[in-house]
Amino acid sequence: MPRVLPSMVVRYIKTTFPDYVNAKAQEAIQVHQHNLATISGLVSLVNKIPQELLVVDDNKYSGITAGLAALDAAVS
Amino acid sequence: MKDWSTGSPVPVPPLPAFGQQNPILLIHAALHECPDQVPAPQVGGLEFIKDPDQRHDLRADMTTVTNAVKNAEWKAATVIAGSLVEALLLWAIQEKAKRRGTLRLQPYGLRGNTSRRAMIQMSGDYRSTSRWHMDWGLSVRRLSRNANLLRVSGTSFILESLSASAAGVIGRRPSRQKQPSSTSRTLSHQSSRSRYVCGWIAGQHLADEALVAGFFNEAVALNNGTSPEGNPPALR
Repeated sequence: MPRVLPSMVVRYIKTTFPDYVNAKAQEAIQVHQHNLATISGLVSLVNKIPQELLVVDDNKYSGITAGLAALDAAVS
Repeated sequence: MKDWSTGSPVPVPPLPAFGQQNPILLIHAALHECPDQVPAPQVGGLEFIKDPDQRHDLRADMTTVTNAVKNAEWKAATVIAGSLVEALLLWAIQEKAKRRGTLRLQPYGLRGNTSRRAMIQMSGDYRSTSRWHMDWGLSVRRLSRNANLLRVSGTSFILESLSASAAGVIGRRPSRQKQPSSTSRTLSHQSSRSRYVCGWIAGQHLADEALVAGFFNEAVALNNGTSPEGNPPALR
């Protein structure tokens, strides 16, 4: 199994959710049946990033954690 | 468990505590800043290298070597360790040249499949072959004596591969035919696979058997915790 790297997840987001990182950055994410798998995949990928690669300040690390929790709660 | 068959979407609102950004943007913004590779904590700091970018790159390479050894990826470990020691040697001689101002160094770039190998162009009083060897030999020997700086995994493999590769670089002369030497073959058949790999690589670049043998002995002595021999390896 390949090692999940931050750049890999960034590419995944840009490819799969281009609107949510640009035009709809401040809009609510609508989780439908058709995008359930891709959002679950994002959560899974982020959880597989080695902790030592998450070299960010406190605020951004909190953002990752809160964002993951919000997505996880929506899809589970 | 939610019932997704009803078709009604589940909204995930932006998070007020993070500037009303949606969770995907938050994750994207944070991960965009994260590196894909960081030096392992147990890797030596290389504090003697002042350039932070260069130090980071070398430490990242050392981490890669450490991981390769853990995963029994002998070829990758040997090649990267070899390139690492070459980079350190080049750095050491460039630093020396800065102080002396008599040595002109020029990285030579791609040459066959040895992409990270560096060739040295000499000028002035360094044009002499014996002086060339002496200078390189002393630099390598100093690095070899400081091999604890490079001891990233505690295995003999790293030290041996570093020394073998370094000796290969030192002894390499473009005009010589590159054939595995008897010394290299003897060393390579001693025991472990790592020695075999190192011996093979040394043999590929070998021009000075005594130098290689000296570095092997020194590396083994260092790794065994005994004092290396007092006499430097034979230099032509």
